[in-house]
Amino acid sequence: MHNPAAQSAISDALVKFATSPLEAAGAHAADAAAGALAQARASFAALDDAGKKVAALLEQQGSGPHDARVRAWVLGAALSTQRASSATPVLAAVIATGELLSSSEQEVAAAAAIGIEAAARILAAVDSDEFRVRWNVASSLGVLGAVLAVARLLKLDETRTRHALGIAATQAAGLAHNAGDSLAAIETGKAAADAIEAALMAKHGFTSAPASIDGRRGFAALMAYRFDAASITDGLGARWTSLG
Amino acid sequence: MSFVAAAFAQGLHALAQRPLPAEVQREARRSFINVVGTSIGASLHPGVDAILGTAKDLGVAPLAPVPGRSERVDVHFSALATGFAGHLDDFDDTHLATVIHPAASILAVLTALAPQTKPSGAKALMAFALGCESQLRVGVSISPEHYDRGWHITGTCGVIGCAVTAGLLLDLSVEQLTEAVGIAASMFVGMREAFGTMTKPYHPGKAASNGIAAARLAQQGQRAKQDIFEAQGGYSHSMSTKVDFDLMNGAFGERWELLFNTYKPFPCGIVAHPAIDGGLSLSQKIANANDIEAITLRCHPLVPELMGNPQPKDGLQARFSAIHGVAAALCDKVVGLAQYEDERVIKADVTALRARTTLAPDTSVNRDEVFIEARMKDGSVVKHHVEHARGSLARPLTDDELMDKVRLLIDPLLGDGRAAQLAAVVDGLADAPNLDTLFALCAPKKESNHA
Repeated sequence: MHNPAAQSAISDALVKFATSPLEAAGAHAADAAAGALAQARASFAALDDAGKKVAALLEQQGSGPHDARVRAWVLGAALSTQRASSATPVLAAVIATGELLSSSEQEVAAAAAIGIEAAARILAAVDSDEFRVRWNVASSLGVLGAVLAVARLLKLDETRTRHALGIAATQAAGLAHNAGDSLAAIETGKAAADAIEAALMAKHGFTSAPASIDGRRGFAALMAYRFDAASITDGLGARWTSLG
Repeated sequence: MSFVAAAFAQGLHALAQRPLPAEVQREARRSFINVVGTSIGASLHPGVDAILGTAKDLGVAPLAPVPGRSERVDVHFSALATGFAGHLDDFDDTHLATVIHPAASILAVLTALAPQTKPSGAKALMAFALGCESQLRVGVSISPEHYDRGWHITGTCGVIGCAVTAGLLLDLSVEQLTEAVGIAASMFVGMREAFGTMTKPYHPGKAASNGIAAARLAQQGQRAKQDIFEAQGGYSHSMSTKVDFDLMNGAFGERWELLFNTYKPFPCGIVAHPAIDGGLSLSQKIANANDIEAITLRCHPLVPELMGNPQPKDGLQARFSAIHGVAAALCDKVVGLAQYEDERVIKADVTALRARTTLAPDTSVNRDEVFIEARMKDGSVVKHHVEHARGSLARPLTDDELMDKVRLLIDPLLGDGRAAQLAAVVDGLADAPNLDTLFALCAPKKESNHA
């Protein structure tokens, strides 16, 4: 029987990053995120086909149009029809959560910057042809960045943020074979919705694996073909890889 | 050449057009009442509260029930909460070849979609049976490598079965059902790193809500790649290095994986079950556990390896202590959830008896077998040989034993007699006009709060 790891330096680093004040070097990242958010909101004005299908689906389920989980899914799907990346679910999730919580623009931009950076760094740690041939990069990495961003907006403490990350990691999903189809956009939007659900459940005390990214039966072990921990932890907070 | 998804949907759709074979229908009813029991039994768990609290934060509409609870939530959160509760405590069903627990996610789909789709009992039972069967078939097609690598197969394969159940409830055409399973293939959920936390039983809950979403998207015309199972970068080869599509699509209507579903009599890992069964047999012959000097269990070596905790300090640890199960059996003459509550585990009587109990691993003993021997203080010896533990494939739970388990799960929460009423409804499901009575009986109040 596998006994899950009791702790993880990777989770600790990501959780600390998501719960700490932005270091000075992060100001540029927050500015860049604010720009990306403005663009995202503008493109959401015109819903595409995948976005419409998701919106119709969610209305049938009894989830109203003001349900942040639903809005994030629709928004993420709409944004993905242009060019999805691991930042897409982060943007969709923070816009929807920011509306739910009436967060300040500054808080939303900082959360987006942190989520985008976290997702980019985890991608750098696992990136390979083998990974990209199997999984949807935008959805499977984006859900991890998005959950950290939403946890920050919810002001979760470190323990709950770690659980939120675990609930998100266990459902990192999306298949590379759908790339270019509208289903890939739906997968990417879903990652934003799943991140909001995960963070809210953690807020209510739901628990998950401490080592969800680097544990023996965790995200990297199951989906990645290499794992470079330093890509995540080196200079995290001080050096912004997503600003390149 | 036929695509795997299309052949799969065609096979299932064809099965849905004719009555289930009698033995399949019987096993479906047994799986059904078992998981109704486990979902109600765990319905007050803090994890269910967390899920319902999240639904409240999001302001969802009160559309669908959650067994054991009076709250109503939207389709998504009804599925999430029901599937979570059904699998909590690992007390639900187990398909031994794949280690899939198929019924929790499928009951969750039924619970969430019944208010909108209003299926007859026969249709619900068909959707339930084929939802279990379909995920088990996906499971055997990628086993054992998929689970061994670390995926929680109950969620990763469950989501596809859930799309089938939802698709049948939504009356999807065979073409739409093909798209539904193809869409669901990209919505897999579940890594074993989460074992030991609330996220493990979250997997079947999320499989259910994802499966429903996949079926709804297909209903609206969303398409998936036709070769999403067999392609490189598709489901099967991404999830496993060992893939056999004959096991997924072969012999529909002849081979029924659902017939290999088993039900746990005790709320702990199956490895400890022969020992606990032996303890219960001895408890029939030993009136007072204080009269026991020492107990020896000759057992399969996996028992001490996986279930070897000699003195657990709480309910979670006790689930990994075969010795606790044996001591509780002899002290209480019954082993259910109550014997795994934190306060029960640390009481003096079971603590003392655990200290006098020894596991003796023996490679000649089978996994579902145990030899138990109690040396009494008066010098006499009481022995029993469990050849096949109750709940194993060779010795399935009888209907009466299954009801004993279900009663202990339901009646303490919903009142004496409720389990029997629910069992009668499930027995007559094939002739029921709808599921209203079923879900009314799953709710805590006497009167139906069905909208």
